[in-house]
Amino acid sequence: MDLSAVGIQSSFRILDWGIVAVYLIGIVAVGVYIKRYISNVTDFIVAGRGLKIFLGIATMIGTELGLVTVMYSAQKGFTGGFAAFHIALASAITALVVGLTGFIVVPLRKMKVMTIPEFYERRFGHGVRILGGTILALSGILNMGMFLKAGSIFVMGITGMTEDIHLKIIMTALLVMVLLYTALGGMVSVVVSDYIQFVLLSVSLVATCVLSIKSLGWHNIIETVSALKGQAGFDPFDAEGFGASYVIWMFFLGLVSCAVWQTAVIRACSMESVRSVKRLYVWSSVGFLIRNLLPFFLGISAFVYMADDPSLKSIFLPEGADADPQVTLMAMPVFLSRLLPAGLLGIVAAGMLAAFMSTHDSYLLCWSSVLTQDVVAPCFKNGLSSKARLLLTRVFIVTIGIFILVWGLWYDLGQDLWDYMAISGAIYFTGAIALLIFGLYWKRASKVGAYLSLTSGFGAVVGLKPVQTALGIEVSSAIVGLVVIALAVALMVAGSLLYPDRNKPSDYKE
Amino acid sequence: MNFWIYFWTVFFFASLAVFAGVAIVVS
Repeated sequence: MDLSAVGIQSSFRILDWGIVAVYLIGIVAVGVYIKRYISNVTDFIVAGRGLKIFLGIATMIGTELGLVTVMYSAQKGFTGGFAAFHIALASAITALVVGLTGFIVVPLRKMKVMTIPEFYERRFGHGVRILGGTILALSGILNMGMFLKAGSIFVMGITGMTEDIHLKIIMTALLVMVLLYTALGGMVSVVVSDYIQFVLLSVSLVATCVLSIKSLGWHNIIETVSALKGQAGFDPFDAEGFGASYVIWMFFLGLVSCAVWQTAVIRACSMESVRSVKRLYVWSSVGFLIRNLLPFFLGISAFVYMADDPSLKSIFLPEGADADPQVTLMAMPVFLSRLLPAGLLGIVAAGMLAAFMSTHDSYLLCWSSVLTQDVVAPCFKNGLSSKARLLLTRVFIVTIGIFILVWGLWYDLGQDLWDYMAISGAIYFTGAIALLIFGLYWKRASKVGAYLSLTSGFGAVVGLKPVQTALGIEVSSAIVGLVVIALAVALMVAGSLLYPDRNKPSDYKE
Repeated sequence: MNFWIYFWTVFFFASLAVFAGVAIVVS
């Protein structure tokens, strides 16, 4: 899709390129400067023990606002209209409920585990840890398989470099940048750079939303969505749009995002007390709300902008057919490139790219650590030396990096990025929900039930569009996800009742 | 449909205002 061929030009100028370069170098320099002082402190994780409240909140919301989140949310706003807001509402409500009740996260914090596979071992034994760690890593790597492509589509849309060859060049360049960034040690938990990111992204996101409303007009936005999407553009329960099953699925996704996903669990388990875990979740409900809501609105604004421009409408909203997901992903950055003045465009792009590198870095570390610590190391009777672990982690980081480059270039998405991420994540979390809830709250949950429940997660791959095409079926990904969750729960209960544990794992205490 | 239009309008502007407030205080 070459937009310049149809006369669509971005307002991205040399000034913006300069801002991006200076900001990215600056944010890395801040991290390197701070690290000189703190190289001897190794047991402190961000948002954790003793972090002051404002910096804690800034860090927490800053880490939730990644470029990939903004991209998939904007696409969902573009394709779903205002009805997509229910996803943000569901994730805020679940985070608030988890904060008020301590559901899942408080018992995990009390067990003093730091990762989900560690919980598996403490509750169900060594074998469940290895299987669970393998599924977690596979699901997580598949889940981040489209990160590089989403980041590259953002760069293409905002800079106007929209030819197909640009995608390959930008994806490769971004991967090299991310690997260099990770090799520098990553800024994953340097709170000062997280704070700078929070301020920049908050100001630029709110300013962009206000500019969108000013440019398009609120009534025009409502009327255009109403005219082109009808009831389905506003009512999330409308069968022509999302439908009731999708809304229920989103509440599960909200619970997963805040209490079951590995990165969230690490944060919860590193807090100094049970009270601070609950407080963190109550505050983070604002972050979970905003990280989706504002990008949804930018996606809706892009939809209205494209509908008002005949040359763009023919590309992004073709008559009688749905646009390709890769095209709808590019709608928001193209809209920003036309809305924002030079300078502000560079600031937004710089903040987004810095967030992209930080998110990518922490996920690369997360999944390579899971593979090293939870899959490979437990297979050796005497464990692995620290040197071997470090080497293995580095090999996994580079291997995963190459995988997501190849996967992003060759995988035919065929559905909204959010739905792809929900289903690829479901391979892990459908089983994990059952193991966590029953493992923490039901004494009779057994090892056999855990094995069966974990394995059922593979059924979620039926929710991926290319798999459905190969099987010749068409089922909503929400229905697939809900059925697999029900199956995981049923197998956990049946397996536990039919094959109860004779002995609890030695270090598990009720 | 009118209910949902009003609901999402109030929801969006209230959330934007809360977030802007939180962002200023936290910054």
